[in-house]
Amino acid sequence: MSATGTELQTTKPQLAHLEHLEKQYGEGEIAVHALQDINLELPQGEFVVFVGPSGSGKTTLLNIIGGLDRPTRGRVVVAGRDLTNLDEAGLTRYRRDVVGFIFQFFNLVPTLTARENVELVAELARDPLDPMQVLAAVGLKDRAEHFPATLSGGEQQRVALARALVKRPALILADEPTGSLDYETGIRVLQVMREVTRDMGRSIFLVTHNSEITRMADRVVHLRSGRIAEVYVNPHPLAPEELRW
Amino acid sequence: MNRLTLKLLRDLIASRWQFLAISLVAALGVAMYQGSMLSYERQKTSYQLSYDRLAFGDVWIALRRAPRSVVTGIARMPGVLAVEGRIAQFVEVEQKGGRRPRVVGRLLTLPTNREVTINRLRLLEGRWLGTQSRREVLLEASFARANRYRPGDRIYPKYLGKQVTFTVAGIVSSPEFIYPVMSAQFSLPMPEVFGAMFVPEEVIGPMLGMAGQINEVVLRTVPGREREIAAAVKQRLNAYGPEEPVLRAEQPSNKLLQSDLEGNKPFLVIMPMLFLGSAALAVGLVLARWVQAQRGIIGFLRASGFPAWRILTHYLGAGLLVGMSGGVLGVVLGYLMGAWFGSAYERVLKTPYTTAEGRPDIALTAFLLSVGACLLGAYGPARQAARILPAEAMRGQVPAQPRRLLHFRMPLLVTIPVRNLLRRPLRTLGTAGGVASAVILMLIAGTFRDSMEGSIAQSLDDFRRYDITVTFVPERSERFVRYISTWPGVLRAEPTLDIPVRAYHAGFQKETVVMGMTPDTRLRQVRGPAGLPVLPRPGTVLVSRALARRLRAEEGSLLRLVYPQNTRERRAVAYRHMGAPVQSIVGMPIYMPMEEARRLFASRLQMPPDAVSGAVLDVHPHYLTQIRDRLYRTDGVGLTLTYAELQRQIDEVTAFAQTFISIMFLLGAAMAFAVVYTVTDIVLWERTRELATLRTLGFGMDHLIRLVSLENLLMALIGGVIAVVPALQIARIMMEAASTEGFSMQLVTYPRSYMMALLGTMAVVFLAQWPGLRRVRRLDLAEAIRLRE
Repeated sequence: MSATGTELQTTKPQLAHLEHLEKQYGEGEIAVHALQDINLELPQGEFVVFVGPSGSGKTTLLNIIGGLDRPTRGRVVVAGRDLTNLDEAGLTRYRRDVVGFIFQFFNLVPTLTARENVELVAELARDPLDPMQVLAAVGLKDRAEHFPATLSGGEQQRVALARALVKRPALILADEPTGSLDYETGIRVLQVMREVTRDMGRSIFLVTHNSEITRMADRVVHLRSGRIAEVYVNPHPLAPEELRW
Repeated sequence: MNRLTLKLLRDLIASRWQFLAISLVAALGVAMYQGSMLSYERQKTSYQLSYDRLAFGDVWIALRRAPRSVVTGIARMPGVLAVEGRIAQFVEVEQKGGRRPRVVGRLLTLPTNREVTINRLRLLEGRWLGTQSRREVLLEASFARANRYRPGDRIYPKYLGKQVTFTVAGIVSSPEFIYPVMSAQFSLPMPEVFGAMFVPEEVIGPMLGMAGQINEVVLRTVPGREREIAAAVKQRLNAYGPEEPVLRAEQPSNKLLQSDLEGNKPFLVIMPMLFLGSAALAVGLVLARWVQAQRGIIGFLRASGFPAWRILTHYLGAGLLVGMSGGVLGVVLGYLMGAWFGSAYERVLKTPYTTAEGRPDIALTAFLLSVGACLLGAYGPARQAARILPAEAMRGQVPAQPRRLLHFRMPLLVTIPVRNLLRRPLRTLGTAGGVASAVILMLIAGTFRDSMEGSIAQSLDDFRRYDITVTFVPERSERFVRYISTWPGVLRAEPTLDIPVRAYHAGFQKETVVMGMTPDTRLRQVRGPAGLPVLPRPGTVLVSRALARRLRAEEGSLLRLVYPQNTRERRAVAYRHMGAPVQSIVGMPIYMPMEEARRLFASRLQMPPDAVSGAVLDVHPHYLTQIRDRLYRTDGVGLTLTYAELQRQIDEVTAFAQTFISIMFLLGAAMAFAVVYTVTDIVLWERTRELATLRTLGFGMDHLIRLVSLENLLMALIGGVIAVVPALQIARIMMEAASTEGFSMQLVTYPRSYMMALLGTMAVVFLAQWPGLRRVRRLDLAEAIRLRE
């Protein structure tokens, strides 16, 4: 692991702790080491960007932090919960209570309107936000009654963001959220995500292969061949509208 | 309503045509079950109600003759609840007024000063016999209807060669003649030529020289002790020449009714199961596609914290809703179908009392069957959905590896569909299974129709070798047949000797008839297993396949043949080995060399030397009417039946079954359409992106139609091949179960049925893919090719 020393020190409370994390697919000669000896401390309230080329292990790492996948070895603690000790039901509760997901292909339910897509998750949460307020926060108040098919890609991704936010998760995990969006729409989505961390105090872990996005991050984790190549704190995050790609 | 349920409803609405089609299939299964079950129960309860209200007898014992006073003694015997004595006599009956000139009547006496306590009658028209009734008669309803009798009409029974005029006082239905057959040896109802006639005992007794006497007693006994009581009563009547008692289970009408009911049973199970099985399969196929298409959403739901059981119940919910909608529709259809079946049946058989209860228990069972079948179909995909790991769902699915089994070059528009079918062989088999279920139903319906037509044709073809069959009352000598053969227009006359027997083997028994076969017979042939004419070898008998099955006998088995009306004075019992079973459609006869039949039975039963019980005649067509009329006028000729009349009788008996089969065929075609539409539509949904891509590459709709049609037709062909063996097996099981005491069918499938099933399925496939192809034509190509697979 390579990190830029004291720059990583912070007074913020810790959100995620990853210790000697490894993920291996297959065994013997055909074994693929997707992650190797990952050690990370990630504080609350930050916009963290995981960046690296294809096959570097970004998504695998995100899935493990999100409780979607289990590590082969090592320990993961998120929001005080040791995921390595949780059974399937425990992981389901963890995902319900702690994390929200955003995917590259939105994965909205096509037969539910924007509002209903958000309500779908709100019904699951213990203390959800008002779905309409969340939609308003992502700039979709007027599009709430539209079905996904009638929304643009950016609007769909903002619905996905609202859907992730509505249950007040401590952590939002976004896997290539701008991957299928054009530049302007992508920027708009990133602006909303930035506001979520700034105004709502949520943490966002974003996976991308677009290194330009690292310039708006509070913290950047570079991955290469399943290992952490570099971790650093960005002292001067740019506003999303300043990014160019 | 929670949002997941809302999603489910909207998903269902989005796939409404597929699910409506499946609901319809389930509804047809439910309707089949409920309709046939209601009809079955309606018949069963109607018979029971009629038997209860009209005090149907438990035991019948025929006697030579006995003083009426014996009845009083029998009534006091333990276990006897009621007893009636009566005169029962077969007579020739002359008819006028454009009716058939001569028929056979079963005269049964009734007391006129009191109501009879056993086998009471229900008056349908006219009035009862009263103490003033002299030469009045009550006619059984089937006979009255077939011969157009109304109260006030005249009828002319012959006693001891003398014709007497009787007036019809009323038309009645009787529990003894719901299925109007002459005796246990007859298996087809022939109300045109046979009728039960109820006459005042005080009038008939003296006319027959039996004043104050009876020749039959009928008993009602303590339930469960019929056999024992019957034996005791027979013992008590020993001085009066009692025949073997006939218990209720063996009473001819009741036995045929029960056999008919049993024959309906396979329809109660197999047909609904076929429909419901197809619905389950179709639900499974559609939901499997849903799960495939919604992997991303399932992944998101699981990632958001929805537990696996919520995903499971979500997709099971789809099966539940389809099953419920099919159930509700099916219950309504089934109610109508049951009413229609019931009334159609009652038009054929005159049941004295009928019931038509709603039977909510049957409706509920039918409804639950639909729900159960659809839930079963949904379970597989729902379980698969619940097991999807969220991380895997996010990664998307790796397309299955295409298989390259054919190592020669084919046009790409052939290669693509072939490889598509080979790519996911299990899924291809599942879809072909859906098509196969439709083909199975059409083939079963076709086989049923072919078998019925083939059996009737065979039966009539055998009959066609002679134009007229004649029964003599009583038996005559062979000289009489030789005399008839001299009549103008008679080309050939052969004697027949039919003797009622009870056949026993391995603890099983069956009342039937021994037919004497002359070695030079040309008119009354028996077909062996290979379909060629055969004759019984000396010392053996030939037995119909249905009877062999009934007696659990096979070639070489030793049968015991007992004359059922054996008395101490007239007694005939024979043992004979059985040859290879032969084909026989109507009844379950036993064929024996004529000389042996005469030696073993006729002479022991004090029949005339060279006894014959009838004749079969081959006549010149121009003389047919003349010869028939001459037979009617000839003394001693009881029953004369021409080819056309037999054909009409068989048509009447099978009319209901023919209608039923036609309905089944239509429903089969409807199901075929629904199932094939569903599966082809699924295939098209799955291929939308691929087809859109081909269009963007410049392939025209005609190319796509060829590509899709080829794939679907190949699928139909696989389905067709899969279907043949199970279809024939199911048809065989149903046919064996549906064969009644009276009519056993041979399994025949004509090539036309294979062709119809194959071409029908292909046509349905071609039509069913049309909505999907239209959708492909209207696709926004730019949008479609961006869709994630």
